[in-house]
Amino acid sequence: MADARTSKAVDFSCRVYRQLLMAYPKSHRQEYGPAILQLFRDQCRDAWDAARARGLITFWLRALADLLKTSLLERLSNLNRSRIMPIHFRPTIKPLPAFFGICAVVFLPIFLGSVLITFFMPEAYRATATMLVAPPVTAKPGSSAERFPFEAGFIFSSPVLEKTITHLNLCETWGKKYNNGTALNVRDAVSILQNRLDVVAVGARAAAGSANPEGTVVRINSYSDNADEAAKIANALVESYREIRSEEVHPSDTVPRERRVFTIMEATPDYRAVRPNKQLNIAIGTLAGILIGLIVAPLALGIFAGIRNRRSAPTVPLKA
Amino acid sequence: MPRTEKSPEELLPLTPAVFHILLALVDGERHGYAIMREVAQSTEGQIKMGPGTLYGTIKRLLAMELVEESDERPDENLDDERRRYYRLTGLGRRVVEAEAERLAALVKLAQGKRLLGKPAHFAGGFHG
Repeated sequence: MADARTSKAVDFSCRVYRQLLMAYPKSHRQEYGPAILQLFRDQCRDAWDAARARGLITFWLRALADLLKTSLLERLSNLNRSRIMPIHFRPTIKPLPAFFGICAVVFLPIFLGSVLITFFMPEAYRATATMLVAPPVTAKPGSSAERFPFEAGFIFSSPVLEKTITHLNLCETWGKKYNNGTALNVRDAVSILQNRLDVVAVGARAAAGSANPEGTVVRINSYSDNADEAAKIANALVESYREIRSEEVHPSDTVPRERRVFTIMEATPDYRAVRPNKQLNIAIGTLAGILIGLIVAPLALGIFAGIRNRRSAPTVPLKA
Repeated sequence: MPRTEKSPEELLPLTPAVFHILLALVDGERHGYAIMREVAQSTEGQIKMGPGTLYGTIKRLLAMELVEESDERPDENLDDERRRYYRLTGLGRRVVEAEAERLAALVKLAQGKRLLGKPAHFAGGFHG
């Protein structure tokens, strides 16, 4: 499975890079194109083996910068070589096509880079569970209500998170994923879980026929690279919180245990990734490509014009 | 017409990329990937050459006759026949030696100004 993924990522990268080799002058491409591509493939494989998608993205960024720099150098050096040709054999550059050509050469790697980063970035899915939390009427000292004035703080607390982790066996599952198969300790798992949650108090909800609030509507968002896992975590968290709240609240509390935490809506897997934001990333890549192309093209044409002017200047100064 | 021999000193100083590629070829012929790995290893990953830089530099080294392409394969069974091998020419070896001497002279100068410590083998020594 891992080999197939490696091969797929490397093959796709090579196919894209093969197209990008068009940035080099034809003669250079014919002479060194296959060797450059072969070296790119080897380096790509090393990058993937070292750090998977992250390694490949880092390598791609370096390879694009390298391609941009060396293709411009090769094109300029081609122009310099034409100095030894008689003047009427020198290639004449038409400003407008040259301008757009340079724009395209600059734009393409930047645009493709943004596309590649977007598609190689690990995806994150979000699942949301919504619950109604009744306010504890009386809270004995040391109870959850006193220790955590805001429910969000309590939901993020170790007892709730640890219960969720135990319930879903996350130490084992995440150990397989992130720790070479060795189970994570609970502290590490809690730390990972905290980074994957956000809790939003949406507002108060009034009880039917009463001006008094029935409770606070709380939304729990859970993020994961797996949509099913995100939903399971959000639901398990609500369950763990419900259990702890019903255990800890003072017996004289007027709200029945089963109504202290009430699930309004369970989390269901949503298979549309929320991160990376593909449209935004590609739009930024497109805009950056156009902008940088528009800056580089006049500069490159200016350099070329300078070279030509120096060449056509007489080698012996004319007397005034 | 007799060919005029180029003087190594005329080509100095070398750029880091050129120096490291020539240095990688001192031990024998290598293909592009092996050169890249040797450079990355010897510089502890500080210099990572991209494919464009490596072959652009090799192209210039070939034009300057500092390296040449080799048709021989160390072991045809073990290697991909599409890979192109390069080796140092006589001029290439003299140039890399001259550059190493130039750098050594600079290091000596810096040591004289107490900008650098003495080389490790002086400090440690070989005691019999």
